[in-house]
Amino acid sequence: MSLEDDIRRLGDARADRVTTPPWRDHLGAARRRWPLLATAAAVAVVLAGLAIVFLPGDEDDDTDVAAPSSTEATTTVTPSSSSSTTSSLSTTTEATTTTVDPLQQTGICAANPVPSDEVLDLATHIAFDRTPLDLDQDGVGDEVLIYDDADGVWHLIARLQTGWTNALRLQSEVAPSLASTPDGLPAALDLDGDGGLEFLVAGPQTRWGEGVQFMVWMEPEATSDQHDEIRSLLDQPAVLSYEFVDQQETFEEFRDFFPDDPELLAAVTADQLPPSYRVVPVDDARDAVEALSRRFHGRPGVRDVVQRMGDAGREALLQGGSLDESAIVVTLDGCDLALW
Amino acid sequence: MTEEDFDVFVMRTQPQLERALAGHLPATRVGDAVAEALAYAWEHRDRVLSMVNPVGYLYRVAQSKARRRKQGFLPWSSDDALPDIEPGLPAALAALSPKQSEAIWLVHATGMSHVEAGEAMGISASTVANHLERGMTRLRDELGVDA
Repeated sequence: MSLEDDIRRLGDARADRVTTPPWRDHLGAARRRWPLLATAAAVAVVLAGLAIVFLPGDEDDDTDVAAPSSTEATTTVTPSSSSSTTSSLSTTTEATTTTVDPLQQTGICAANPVPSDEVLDLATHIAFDRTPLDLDQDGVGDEVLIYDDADGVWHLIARLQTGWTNALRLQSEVAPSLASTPDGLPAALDLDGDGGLEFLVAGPQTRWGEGVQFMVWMEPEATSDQHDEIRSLLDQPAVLSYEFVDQQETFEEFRDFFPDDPELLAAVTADQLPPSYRVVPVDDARDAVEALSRRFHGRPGVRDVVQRMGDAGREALLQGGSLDESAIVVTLDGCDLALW
Repeated sequence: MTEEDFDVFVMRTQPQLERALAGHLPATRVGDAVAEALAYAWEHRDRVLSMVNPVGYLYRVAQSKARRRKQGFLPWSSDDALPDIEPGLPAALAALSPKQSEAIWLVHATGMSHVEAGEAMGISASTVANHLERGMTRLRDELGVDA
């Protein structure tokens, strides 16, 4: 009997033990949670309005402002824009049914390491539907960026509204360590070594350096043979150049990302951080970069391969002012939803 | 698409989905994860049922809904009562990297092709083959079994 047969029999035995309840019992579970998230989002937007564009006594229905002019701290979201107090965010200021802490509900990476159900539903929705989200239900999609852990690619999923940017700024004020993160490369770090990513930082990516299209993050304990294998793979005509960034340099970058987070800095030492190869391919077309970067996935000693976000995605991210300073990053593991 | 049509789809896909998820989730969580994924499939039935590999897709949905943060093969207490298999097998699978054990489980225990397993894992078929080969070599070394 082969080992493969044993594995199949183990599968047989386990499958016999599984009892699946009727799927109908689970209908609507995610949908029931969505209104909570939408409400939380609306609360955040209203609070942002108070903090940033406070317009006392503004009763003009036709005023189309960037943030709602409500002076109430709680709100509900209506699915349609039929309300007479509709702002650009389709919020109303009528009934108050739920008081929600927006930070708790939307989940911020560093402050809320255990993802809420809403965040997971959001992540699931984004990862699998790949359709624009419309959390405030105003008919215009929100802008969301996702890092796909599986293939190491940034995806721009949806467009965000101006009002949301305000909400995100407010949240940054509440979470100063996140707000102080300067422009930088998306950092993908796996501090506890569970295979998930702990921090994801989206920004203008200035640290990527000229022409760098993807990074091969190595395990801190990768052997010199494993590094040799990666280098031999990099010594090929499709690679124009590459740079090796050792653990100490990575630590210095890390320190630059989180200058105002002494607790985090104290918890991290250079030898925990992964060294990396920053690769400049000859052909920077997305398909070519993907094909090339995939060759490094799963190699011994390789922790992760992170690809630069495509130009189209970056332009969409920066244009229109909707996301000039903010972005939402969602990942399915580690930090689940980070707002910037 | 009627509920009856969908029930046919469920009958066809549920067993493989249960089996696929039985490697890396606790025994008590597999059933609910499958039911949640099937409910999701019903709510998105037009798209899901037109997929070439709906099981792979629903596998990812179910994994996400199951919210298991730590990855890797999970030994079940019931494994100990299986007389016909290599006794150290569950522990040896658990000692592999998460991707290796997942590739092995999806291909050898679930019967997926490399392409199907790749879609379920979100990686290419050739990467599945790499994980599979390295994982099986490590398993054989660990268990002292010949190829």
